[in-house]
Amino acid sequence: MTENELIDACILNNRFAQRTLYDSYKRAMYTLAYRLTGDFDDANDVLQDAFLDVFKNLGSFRKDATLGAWIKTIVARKAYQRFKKPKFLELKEDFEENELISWDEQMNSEYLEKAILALPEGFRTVFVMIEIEGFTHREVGELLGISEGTSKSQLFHAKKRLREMLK
Amino acid sequence: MNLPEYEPSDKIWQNIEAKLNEDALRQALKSLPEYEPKDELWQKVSSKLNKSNFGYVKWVAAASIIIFISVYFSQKNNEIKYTKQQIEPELLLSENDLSEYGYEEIMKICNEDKIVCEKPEFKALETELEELNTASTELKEAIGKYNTEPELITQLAQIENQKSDIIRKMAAQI
Repeated sequence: MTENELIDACILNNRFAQRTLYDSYKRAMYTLAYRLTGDFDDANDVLQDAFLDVFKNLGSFRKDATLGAWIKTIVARKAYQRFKKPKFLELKEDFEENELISWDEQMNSEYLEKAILALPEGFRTVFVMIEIEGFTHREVGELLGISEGTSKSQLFHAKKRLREMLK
Repeated sequence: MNLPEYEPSDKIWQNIEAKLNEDALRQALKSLPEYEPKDELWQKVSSKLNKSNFGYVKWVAAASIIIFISVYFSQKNNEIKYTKQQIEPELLLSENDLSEYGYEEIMKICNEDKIVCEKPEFKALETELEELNTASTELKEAIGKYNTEPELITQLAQIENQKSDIIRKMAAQI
């Protein structure tokens, strides 16, 4: 079954097709939901709401993005709507867009994961969406209702904080 | 020929170095763990989808009822057309078909005294009456149950009056 056929079957409320689609994306979306919320129970709720939205609105999926990217946006939006708005720390310290942050060649992914989850909400949200999920600053700005400049600033400070934590 | 050479801005190397520096981070991010939701989560999604479909069915049913009622009343309203038709009083049908009663009485007499009934004038009237009866039956079928064609009702009334005239003439001969 092609992805288009799978989508059509899901729109017709074919439960087998819906389960197949869910199984295809559940790990990636659950992981995203967990990283955005920082809590497995909250991630469960976000994933459930997001997939219900996916199946209700699949008819409006225009296929100008990949299905994965479309679902990812819904998960991110659900996580953002469900919880209190992340506080985007406005740091007085200005940032230079190309300021260098040096990273160790051999980074332990387990430590890195813990450090990401320990970031303040706003830093974490922007870092996860841009560096891990591949959203652009414009997309993050639209989704979170912040300017591209704020998104860039949050990302810079997130990286700086991460670097400090990983030293 | 010594053409000039140009020096790139320092920013170029800074950008390259920044990207190279980020590679270590990118590589590490690729190996971050993934998490799997429990199977119960699909059960919850599935049951909610069932409920939402039931809700959808309820909405469809409710919408169907509303549409049915709307169509019913709009058609009913269409039926209530008020038209005023004038029919001359003498053309109105009597509630009891007395001509049929009169014809039956004449036929009883004919059975007792067939000589009168065998006269050509009487036979002509009888033939005319049969033709009018046929026309009357066909008109009644055309009119149907709902009497929606005033012209046909007028014609029927005229035929019934002609039948009465003929029966009167037949009675006069007896």
